[in-house]
Amino acid sequence: MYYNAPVLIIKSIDFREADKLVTVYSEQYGKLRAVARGIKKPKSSLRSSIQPFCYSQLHFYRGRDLELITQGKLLDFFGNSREDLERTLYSVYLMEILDKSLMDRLPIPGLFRLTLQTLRTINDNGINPLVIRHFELNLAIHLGYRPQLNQCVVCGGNQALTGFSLAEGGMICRGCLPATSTGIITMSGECLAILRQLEGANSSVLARIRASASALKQLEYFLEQYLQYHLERPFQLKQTIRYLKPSRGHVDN
Amino acid sequence: MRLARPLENLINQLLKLPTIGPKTAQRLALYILKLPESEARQIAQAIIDAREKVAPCSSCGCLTDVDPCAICEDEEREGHILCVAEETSDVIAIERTGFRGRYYVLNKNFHLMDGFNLDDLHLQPLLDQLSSGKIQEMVLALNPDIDGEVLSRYLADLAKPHQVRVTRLAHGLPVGGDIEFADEITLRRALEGRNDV
Ligand SMILES: [Zn+2]
Ligand SMILES: [Zn+2]
Repeated sequence: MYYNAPVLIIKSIDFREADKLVTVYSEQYGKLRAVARGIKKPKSSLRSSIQPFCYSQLHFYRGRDLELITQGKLLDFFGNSREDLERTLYSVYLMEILDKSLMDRLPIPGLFRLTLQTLRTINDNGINPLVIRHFELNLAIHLGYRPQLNQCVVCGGNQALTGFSLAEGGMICRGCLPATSTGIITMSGECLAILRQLEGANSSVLARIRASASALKQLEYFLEQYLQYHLERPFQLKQTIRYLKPSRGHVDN
Repeated sequence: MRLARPLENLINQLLKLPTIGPKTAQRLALYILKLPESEARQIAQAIIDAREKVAPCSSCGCLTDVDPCAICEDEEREGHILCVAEETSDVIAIERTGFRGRYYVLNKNFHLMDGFNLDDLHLQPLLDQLSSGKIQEMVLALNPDIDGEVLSRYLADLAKPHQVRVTRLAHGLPVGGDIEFADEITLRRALEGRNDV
């Protein structure tokens, strides 16, 4: 059976001698793995349309085990991002999270559109940390892990919410804090307010949110812990981004 | 029918090789059994010899049976140009072009999604060479994909304080190719790297 779909390329790995095994994400079909044959040959026209974080129209043939990619056409290759190390790393980071969090063939159309929108924003405007945090939070929500940000998960109160319990999946008030000992992440009022704004914010709202450096740091830490808690794995690209950034321009050896 | 143990073992060993599936492994194993004994021994001995005698050159990383390797020992080479490649097979390809500089082979495939660990990349000998003052230009000959680009930028940053010129292979159209059928990424890079005629 033949079909075609616009897809995001999550990753391509070497497969057999001249082939690539490509993991793609489609709005309609979810995450799929498909073989692109003869990709290392110079004449292959498929090669550029299966690079990580390309948006491509791919034609598939449903094989017995794996899909086969028969044709491809680039829709958007996010050229600005590809020319810039930081944007490249963050774009690949989005692909890594998708790779590690999506089940095969389970479409989540809202998440697909969120990813495409985030890749476009990164390409057009560069890295705004809040755009990345917005993606992380809303990805968790699309996957069914919506944090309870508006009331204490123990007593239901909405005052003095000061910590987040990973195990309970929500905020804890100062009064209930002593009774809940493990896995609490301290959260400032500013950080909590930004999280609430990020929930479902569109790009024009996102552009207007202001955050202090300490809130940004807390937010990044919180979302990293939150995703790792639910997805049960670390993300390599986060480490790579941390690793490569300080070494820019640094050289004594 | 159960296969003879040694035959089954041979098939299992061959299965470890890349691109070899169960059918191919079986065909190869049966073929080896039909060979004259001396030839089968030659194959086995060649594997053992290669494993025992070939190792990365301590200076450039090329696979060699004499250390330092023939390229490192070649006094005629232009010592001020250093070409960084991923594998010895890339060096073999570049040698065919008549390039006369020296090499640094990483012997390691770098994949962003598998994590980035500098220690795995063995860069100290490269840093030593860059700081020796003998190198004027470092040519980055890494694959033109995301992994190769990220690594190239990282290595370029490392070289910056040593006042070494850093270049990378041009991205462009394959010879005999057709502009009409080139993809946008390649064409954009080819335009950026355009030359005076
Ligand atoms: Zn409470
Ligand atoms: Zn050598």
